Amino acid sequence: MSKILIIDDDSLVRHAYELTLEDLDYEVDAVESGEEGLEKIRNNEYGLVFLDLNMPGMNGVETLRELRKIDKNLTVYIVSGFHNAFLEELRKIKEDGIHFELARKPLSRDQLKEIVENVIHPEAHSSEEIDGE
Amino acid sequence: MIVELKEILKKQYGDKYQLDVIEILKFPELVLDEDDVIATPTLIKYSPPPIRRIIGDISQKQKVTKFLIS
Repeated sequence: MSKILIIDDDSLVRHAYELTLEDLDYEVDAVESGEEGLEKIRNNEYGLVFLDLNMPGMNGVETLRELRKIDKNLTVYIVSGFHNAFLEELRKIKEDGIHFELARKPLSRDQLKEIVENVIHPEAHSSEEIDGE
Repeated sequence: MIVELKEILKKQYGDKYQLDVIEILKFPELVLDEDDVIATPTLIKYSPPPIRRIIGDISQKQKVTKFLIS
């Protein structure tokens, strides 16, 4: 079983992730701050992390910078709107060689499921038909 | 990842394919109204139909080949 970490200051979002992912039999840890997320990563082995970009205190970019000092290879999805205002800081960290993937906010249950299953079980994935949506 | 993808496409279609690559961090406006793009990396096959997408590692030969013929 793959373990997934959710870092998001919004309790409703964390709860929604937990409900969806636990229904799919994934083990989920959900925390409300970057600091707590880093502590979890130091003490656990995760297959995937969803990291909110805008959080009070340590934001998503600062959290990712610290996270990469702990684990260079862990797959991290930064969850954000795809607007220029949100992406500016992400451009900077990419130029610094810090790797991450992007997921569009908000994610529906089906979209979250699609991302997780493709990342954690890429060999067993099935593609999504989008014709006519 | 794009290099590997091009190799897979070339093997499948020879030179008869068109691949457009959009880097969201550079050109987010190109996908803002594109509901099909929910995460990176996403590969969308527009033709031949049906239009389909996969998310995740698109450099895996077996996965992408299966996707292209689906």
